[in-house]
Amino acid sequence: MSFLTAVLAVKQGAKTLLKTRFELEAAGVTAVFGPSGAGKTTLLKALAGLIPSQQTKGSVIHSKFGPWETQQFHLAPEKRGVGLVFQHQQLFPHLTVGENLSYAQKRQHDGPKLTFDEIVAIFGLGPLLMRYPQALSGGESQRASLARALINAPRLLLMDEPLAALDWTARTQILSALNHIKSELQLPMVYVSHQWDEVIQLADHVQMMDRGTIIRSDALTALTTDIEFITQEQRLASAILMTKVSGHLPDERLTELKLGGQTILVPMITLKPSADVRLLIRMLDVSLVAEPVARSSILNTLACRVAHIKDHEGAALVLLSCEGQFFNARITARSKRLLELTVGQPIFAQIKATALNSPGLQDG
Amino acid sequence: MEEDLITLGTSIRLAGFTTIILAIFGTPLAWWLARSQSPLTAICIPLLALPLVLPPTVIGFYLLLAFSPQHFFGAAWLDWFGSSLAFSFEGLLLGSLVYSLPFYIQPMVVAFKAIPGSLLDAAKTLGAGWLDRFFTVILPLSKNGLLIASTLTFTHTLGEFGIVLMIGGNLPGETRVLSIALFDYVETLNYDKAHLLAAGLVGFSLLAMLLIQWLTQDRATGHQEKLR
Repeated sequence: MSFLTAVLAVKQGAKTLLKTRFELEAAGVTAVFGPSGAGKTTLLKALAGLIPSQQTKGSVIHSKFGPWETQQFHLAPEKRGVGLVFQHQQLFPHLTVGENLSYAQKRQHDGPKLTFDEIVAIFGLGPLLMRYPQALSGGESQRASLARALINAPRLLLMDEPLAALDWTARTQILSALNHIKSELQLPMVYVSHQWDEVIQLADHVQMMDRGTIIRSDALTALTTDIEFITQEQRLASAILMTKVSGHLPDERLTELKLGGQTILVPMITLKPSADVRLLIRMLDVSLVAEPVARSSILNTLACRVAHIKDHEGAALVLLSCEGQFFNARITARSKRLLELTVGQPIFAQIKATALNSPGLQDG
Repeated sequence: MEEDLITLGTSIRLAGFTTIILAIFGTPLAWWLARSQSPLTAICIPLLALPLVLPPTVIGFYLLLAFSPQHFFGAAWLDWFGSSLAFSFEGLLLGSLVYSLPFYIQPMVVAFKAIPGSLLDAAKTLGAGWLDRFFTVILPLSKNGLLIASTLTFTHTLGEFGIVLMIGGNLPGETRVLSIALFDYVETLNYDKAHLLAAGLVGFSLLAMLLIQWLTQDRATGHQEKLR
């Protein structure tokens, strides 16, 4: 059962901005991924009902709550129960952060919800509640905007590049908060981005968009195991490994994760055994060794195979296959020669892994 | 002196009613002018600004014609209300509405245009319907514009002369207003009384401008203070 099926057509004058079929899964995060100008924002606005109906002729949207748009009918945005977070300027400047949140709480839709206090805690807004939006940093402002959208209890949350204008720390905090929300709420979310590393950290499904049309729609894991797709330039820098919690080592403050038949240790996370954990592996945090090193400060060594090698500006990008999943290592040309790397060869990867959906992460 | 107080009362009544009526009808009109994509706004904006550039006597002249019972509008009014518009307070009020309209509309259009569309979109998706958005987002964000528009309208109506002379006449308690009274005093060389009225108007206008300055500034610093 999907959340929504739609045929979307948006025209501005004679120019077609959007012309596509769109289907949204009932659960999880769907990333809409594509270059700037592909029509991603227009897609979100059309779903939210924010485009004047004379520009959306031919659009039909059926949600599982009933029709939103047909030939004769256009459901007002305030009645769709859709939360929308954009890139900039959306908090009401005449209200404090706390008042912005209350504004949303008073007008709640009937979607899944958390309490005011839970949301304030997840987004770390406690010290900011009395502030006016003008006095917030970009990251704080975006955290408050997401919190406001969630307190409103939407049936569907749409996010339009919410991290685009933020620095790395702020992005990490927000991605971690969103992963937490994802594990707490059965709320379908659409996440628009042109950054592949954001997409892999959050999405379950990916819809690729180009020139106003969805050109490919797949599960994230189908894309992260598609060698041709992930070896394209902008998608190399980081990868994720899907693992499950197998147990905790409280004495050492570590959690044991299973990746196929192998084990990975990460700083302790408070999830039950067999919970899904997404590990972020950055290309630069991976080193390769021919034999496992017995004594090393790096905890995790994974047995892998070389799946693909690409020379790149004096370095070698090595795609590693491990238990059916892929990640990259960036090594020097010299290391490549010393290790005598060839495709198909077994190799060991030492990794530094960050668990993404650990609820405690944003404090650390 | 008592006569002057009656004149002051008429002036304040006229300016007050003009401001209130324009706030009620001018605000939605300004919103439409600021936000509508309709090509009609391209004609309406210059048309509504016309009173700014036309000599008041020209407007007064046409209004006088329209008010006369020989004319359709004046005749209809007479039929309906049983009294003529010309040389009446109601007629004066109608004239003031026409003449002061741009002084209300222009600051409001500027204020409304300055509201980012993203804030309105946010309010919509948060579940706020049109009236809700108007009172909780649009009005608070155009508070300064509203303040300036109302003060300009009020003070400007208070000082109106040309139109009043054409359509109002000079009936104490009905259409005799401060600016006309001042003119009369000067004509009759009664400079003491003229001074009183003139200085009073200067003082009042200055106070109004100071009030605007203070209120619009207070908002900004008020925000700063709450931050700490």
